[in-house]
Amino acid sequence: MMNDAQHRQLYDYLEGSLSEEDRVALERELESSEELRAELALKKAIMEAIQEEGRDELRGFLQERLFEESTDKQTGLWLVAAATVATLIVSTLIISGQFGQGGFLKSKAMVDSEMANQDSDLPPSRVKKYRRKYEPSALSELDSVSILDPAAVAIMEVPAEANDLDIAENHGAPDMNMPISMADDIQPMGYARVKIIDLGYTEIESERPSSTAKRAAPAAGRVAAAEPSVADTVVRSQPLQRARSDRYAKVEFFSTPSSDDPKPSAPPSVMLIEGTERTYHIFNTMAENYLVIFLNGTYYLSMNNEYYALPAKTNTQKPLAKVEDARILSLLEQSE
Amino acid sequence: MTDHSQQDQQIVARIQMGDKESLVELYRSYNGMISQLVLGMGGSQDDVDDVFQESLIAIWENMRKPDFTLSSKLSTYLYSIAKNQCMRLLDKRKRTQNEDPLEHTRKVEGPTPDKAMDESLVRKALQQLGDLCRSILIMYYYDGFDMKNIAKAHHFTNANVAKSKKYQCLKQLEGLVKQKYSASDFLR
Repeated sequence: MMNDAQHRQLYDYLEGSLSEEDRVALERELESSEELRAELALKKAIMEAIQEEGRDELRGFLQERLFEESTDKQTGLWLVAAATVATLIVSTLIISGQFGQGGFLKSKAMVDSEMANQDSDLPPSRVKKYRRKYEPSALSELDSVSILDPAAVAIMEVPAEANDLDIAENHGAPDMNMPISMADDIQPMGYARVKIIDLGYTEIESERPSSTAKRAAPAAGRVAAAEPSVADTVVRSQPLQRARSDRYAKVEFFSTPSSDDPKPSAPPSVMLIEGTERTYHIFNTMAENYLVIFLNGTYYLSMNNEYYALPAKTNTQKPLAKVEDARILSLLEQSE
Repeated sequence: MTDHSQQDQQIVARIQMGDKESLVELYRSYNGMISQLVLGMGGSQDDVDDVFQESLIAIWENMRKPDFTLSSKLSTYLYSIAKNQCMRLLDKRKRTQNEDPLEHTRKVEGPTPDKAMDESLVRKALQQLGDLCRSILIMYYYDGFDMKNIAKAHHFTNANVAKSKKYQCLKQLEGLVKQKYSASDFLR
């Protein structure tokens, strides 16, 4: 049984702060003592895990701050654009000298037209909507979706023919040791590049499903590597970050570019993941009445008669912003 | 010294003092340069964010080392790190696209499953630690703060108190890990 001083000495050794004499003595002792070697291995794993945790914490900080920066920048650009349009309108009025009765009416029409054009920054042709078809009966958990916090929403893009839940199961679920509530008859499908951006409890850091994944979740049943049909699947998971929310993890899914279609125009989908440390449930919000609308470069989630803007990079620390801008609301309503 | 290089030196000094906000200033100052670099190398706008983020992490880790000295302009330094990050990202993507899909069933990249598992279970235990302990351990082992600064940040009376607290936290963490695993499980 090791005493405190020995434990401290092992940490000092790993930190490189032992004197040369003590270091040599300890290394000699390590050669002969398996117990000491085991303790050293544990302490090394602890130090590495702390470093990894620190790195992910910094990554989380940067994601949040850089996202704020880019949002501020976009808002700033929008304000500049709006100011420019306003200046142009006023300048046009002044230059054309249309301040008389008729002139004013004409100008008003022009202003209306300008305003309409402003709206047409979001032309209907660019408003796309995606509704995925699933059998709600196959997804009994969906009833719970409406009570989930929209902050847990993440963006998921998959090829039109792919099945979200399967992708989730074959990539996210085994990695997360996540029992999935889903119908048995959903077949696995391939081609999704999965980018897990903030999972609190994922165990895998590798490029693709690893043996750890298989070992971690035998109950999940369909591990990608075991299924020829999903062998084409590429999984990319980033190192884990500490969950900022106790209940939710978030996942971004993107379709994989292929040689035929380097930039697949896959419709996005949305998934919510609710979970505790060892148990997650995936809810696919596209299965019933939830809808994602792509409007002027932003994805909006329509949920319970409200619209939420989905940021390009989700951030569970903040709830999704509810859309309150009447102009955008109107376009979103039209697009449904 | 020009304004720009003064600003660079200030940013470096702030990073060395442990100010993470200075990374955001780096982002503001050099966003255009990195965007141009990544897009020029064939990356996407999303890649710009990823590359920038990973570059900032690398910069933080390098500059937090006690022996770090900046031997070039900060922009040059950032550019070279971002270029490497971008090449790595694009190479990885290219490899992934060209790979025989069945290879996925045959080999595993990244940390070995055992190592990944070790890290994962220790991190779970780390998440069960109190915030104070987590903060002390991360400040020491990741951010590279010395005990004096850790003591200051956490209002301990002196560095020795911080050191002793750090050891208590490590002990507590080990205890959590050992509730489920023995030290010999880590001996592979």
